Amino acid sequence: MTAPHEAGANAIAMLTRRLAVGEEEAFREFHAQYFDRLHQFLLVVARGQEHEAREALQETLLRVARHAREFDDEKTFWCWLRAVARNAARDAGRKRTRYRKLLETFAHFTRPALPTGPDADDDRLTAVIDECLAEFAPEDRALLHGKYLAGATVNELSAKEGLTAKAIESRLLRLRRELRERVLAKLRRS
Amino acid sequence: MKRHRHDELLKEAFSDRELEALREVTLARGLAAQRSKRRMRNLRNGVMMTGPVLVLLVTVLFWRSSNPIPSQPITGAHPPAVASIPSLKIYPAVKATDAPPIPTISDSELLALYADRSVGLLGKPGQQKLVFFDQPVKAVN
Repeated sequence: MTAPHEAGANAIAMLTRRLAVGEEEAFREFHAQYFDRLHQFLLVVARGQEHEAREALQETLLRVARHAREFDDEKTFWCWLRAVARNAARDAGRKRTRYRKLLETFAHFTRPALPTGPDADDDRLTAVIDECLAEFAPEDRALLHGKYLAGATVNELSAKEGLTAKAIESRLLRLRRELRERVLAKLRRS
Repeated sequence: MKRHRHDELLKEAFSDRELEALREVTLARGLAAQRSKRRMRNLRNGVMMTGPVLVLLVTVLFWRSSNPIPSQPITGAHPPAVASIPSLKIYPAVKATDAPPIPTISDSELLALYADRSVGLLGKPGQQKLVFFDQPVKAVN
């Protein structure tokens, strides 16, 4: 019987090996698994600048396709992906105007110190989401919590709240938009 | 687990038309890059497989052109198999040294050989050419 972490490591080893030899199906799997995760990571790296994050994401995925190699476990692979993403974001940053770079450098030196461990950016995003969720009204927070943390369905939530499913979906849509704006604003300020 | 739930929440919060378009574009470009990488890999493998053979072939051809194999001298060391048949007369192998020497003649003796024709010797002594004046001259490269 294979342990779950061992099976996961084998899956990553197999996926990265297939990526390294240029198998297209492997890239589809990788893209499906890591597109959103890398996007979220780059949102933090780009400090909430969506356009820059997306530009860097595009470059990151291309670099992975070109230079992928085999990794033994998911943690090492994710570390490598983060390094590739950071480099892509930095290279994209170099293309921006000198004036803007100067302003960013100035802002970098004047902003308060942030956690700088290997998982600092991942932790930062989690902290920002928690902060944003805490700012919502209790009933809104409960709805988001029920849907995304407790895993309840829209029908279950509608039954609990005494509202129609359409009304719940509408509220969730509004809350997601609000959360997005709050997260981006906090990342820009950080 | 909490991180996973956040991922889902963020995915839905940040998903828009532009991001979906980016998803499609990056997938297509990544697949193209994978195809290109695989082609290059196959090409490299092909070169690595056939390269040494080609190098060996070229080396052998070059060596053979610069060192031609001398023709085997005919000697009596290996008599033919028919030698045991009593009805056949065996001749000894002819060595190059057994051939009669080529006789040397003087200019006048040479011209005397063609007394009935119009001939002459042209050129410096030692590099002379025999020329027949009674027939058209052929172009010689």
